Amino acid sequence: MSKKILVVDDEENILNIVKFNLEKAGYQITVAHDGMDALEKVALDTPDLIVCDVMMPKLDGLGVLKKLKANPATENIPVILLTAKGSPKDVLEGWQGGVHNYLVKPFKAQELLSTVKAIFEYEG
Amino acid sequence: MAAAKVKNIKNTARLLVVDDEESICAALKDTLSLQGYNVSTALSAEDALKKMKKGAFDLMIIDIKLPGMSGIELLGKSKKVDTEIMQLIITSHASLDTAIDALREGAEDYIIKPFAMDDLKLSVERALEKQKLQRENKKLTEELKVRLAQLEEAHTQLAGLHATLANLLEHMIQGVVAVDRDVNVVVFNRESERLFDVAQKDVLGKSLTHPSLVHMKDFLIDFLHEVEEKGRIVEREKEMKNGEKSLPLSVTGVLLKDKKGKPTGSFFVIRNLTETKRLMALEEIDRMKSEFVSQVSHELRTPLTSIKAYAETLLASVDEGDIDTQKEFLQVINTESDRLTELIEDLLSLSRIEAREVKMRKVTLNVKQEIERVLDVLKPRAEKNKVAVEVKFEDDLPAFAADRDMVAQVLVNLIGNAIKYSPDGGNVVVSVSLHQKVNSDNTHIQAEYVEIQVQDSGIGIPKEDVPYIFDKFYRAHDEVVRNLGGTGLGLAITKQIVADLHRGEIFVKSKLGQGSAFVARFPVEDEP
Repeated sequence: MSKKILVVDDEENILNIVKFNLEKAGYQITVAHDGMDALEKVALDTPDLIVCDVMMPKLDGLGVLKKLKANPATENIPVILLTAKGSPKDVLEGWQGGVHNYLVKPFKAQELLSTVKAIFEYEG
Repeated sequence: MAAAKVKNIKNTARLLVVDDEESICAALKDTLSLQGYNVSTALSAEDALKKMKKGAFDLMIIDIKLPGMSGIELLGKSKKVDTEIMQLIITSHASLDTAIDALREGAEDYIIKPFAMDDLKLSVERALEKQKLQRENKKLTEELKVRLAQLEEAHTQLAGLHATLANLLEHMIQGVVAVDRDVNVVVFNRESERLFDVAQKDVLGKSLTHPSLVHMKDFLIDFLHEVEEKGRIVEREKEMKNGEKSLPLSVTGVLLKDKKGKPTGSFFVIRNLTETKRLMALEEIDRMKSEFVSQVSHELRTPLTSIKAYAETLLASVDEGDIDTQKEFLQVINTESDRLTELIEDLLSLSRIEAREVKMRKVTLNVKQEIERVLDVLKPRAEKNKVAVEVKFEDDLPAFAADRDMVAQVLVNLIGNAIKYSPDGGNVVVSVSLHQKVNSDNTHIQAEYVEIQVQDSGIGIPKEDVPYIFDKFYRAHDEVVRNLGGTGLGLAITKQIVADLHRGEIFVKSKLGQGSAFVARFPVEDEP
């Protein structure tokens, strides 16, 4: 059975292209448009991996991460943060929240795919 | 008996008897020694002076008739050797005149020969008693002088300390004001003069209730009550108003008390916060600048990320040949490129306005014509969104001077937004009217504006967003609104044009669910 990935971004275009590329690589994709939406989707159907934008309305990517880590049912879901910010402070915030990886926008589709692949290989 | 003797010896006065007759010397020595005095004798004035140099005497008994230097002469000379010495003169009846001379020379008393020993003893006692008193008096006087000198010194030190403290108080960078129980001003330093704009001499001793100090009273009254109640207040901020002038001040105060704890007045240290506030404002500007830079970088990267991701995917799958997907991707790239261009144009436009690099070309504007021109441009957009635009003009609108292109930009932004945020079948009303500002007494018009109001039938702006609606990159935290696009700079530019460049006014009236009305007012001036 193919792995389930939740993609979260408030930019419709980004959401679509990430979905397109990951689907093409054979993954099963669900999308969410903001942090709150993401948590609702996770509660409905636990994904194997989350690809999440940082700057979003309602609840940002780091907020999503915190909520996930606070819940034993979701704390082990690996998360890839997509950030338009590249400052060391933001990256550090991501690591402290337990993020597995992050990609700085604009990122390469190939980069995302290999990161996703690496995480699934590591997780088994 | 023994005790009395000891006492006598202890109080032994030293006497010198000067007489050229050895027998008299011996007789006097015997008699006076018996009284407990320590008696020496000299047979001439010269001998007496010699003895005086060897040891001090308290009293001398001088026979006025001496061989060589006379007794009278000895009086003066011996007094020079010892100013405190007591002198008794022994004289015969025949030389009574001389005795009077002797008294003039400073002799204490005279005894007329032949004399009774008791009289002599009495004279000696009296003279010694007087000397004792004189000596004590002198000692007291000297002690008094020392005390006086000490007091003088202490007083000088205190005066110095007082001067230092007064100087310190006077030149403190904070204002210092103290009042007594009847709110009479007792301390008022130089900085206070500057803060309250009154001269020290016009304040000191005056009650705070004096009409000339009304601004000080207004400022301090609450603090006075609070200090009275709580004993002290620390770093309280308050705006001090004095006519047109207004100063941000910080006040620290204490209730003054005497040793018994009874309040004697209040003491205030007042700091001018103008400079602090200015620095804080500068810091705030700095913070806003860097926040703006990070916002700009985010806003630029978002379309760029899309363009990059779609182009890359397109390149990777170009041979797979799904032409519809490829077209769709190219469409995204195209739209996002437009968005990027629009954003960069808005950024440049805003930075030029903020840096005052724009040249205003004010002309007398026909607002009706201008609105019609803009509506022509926006017509396709309104038709596409199925929004009807209605325009209402008040009669006899005055002409006003403004930059034509800028006013057009304002109209495009406001009417364009109204079309964008109105639902299908909705309508937008643009009304132009004269707005007059009158003074508070309603007696005359202070300013005239041409007011352009753009009312949409959209969802309205949440109350919490209204204060920020004209901020750069501030878009309502609502998905529906966010997805309508725009650079997030349109209203910021509009505000700059109306309020800053044209000295007009701009604001929004909005109720959630009932639409929003943006109001722009351009001042009516006589000539461009």
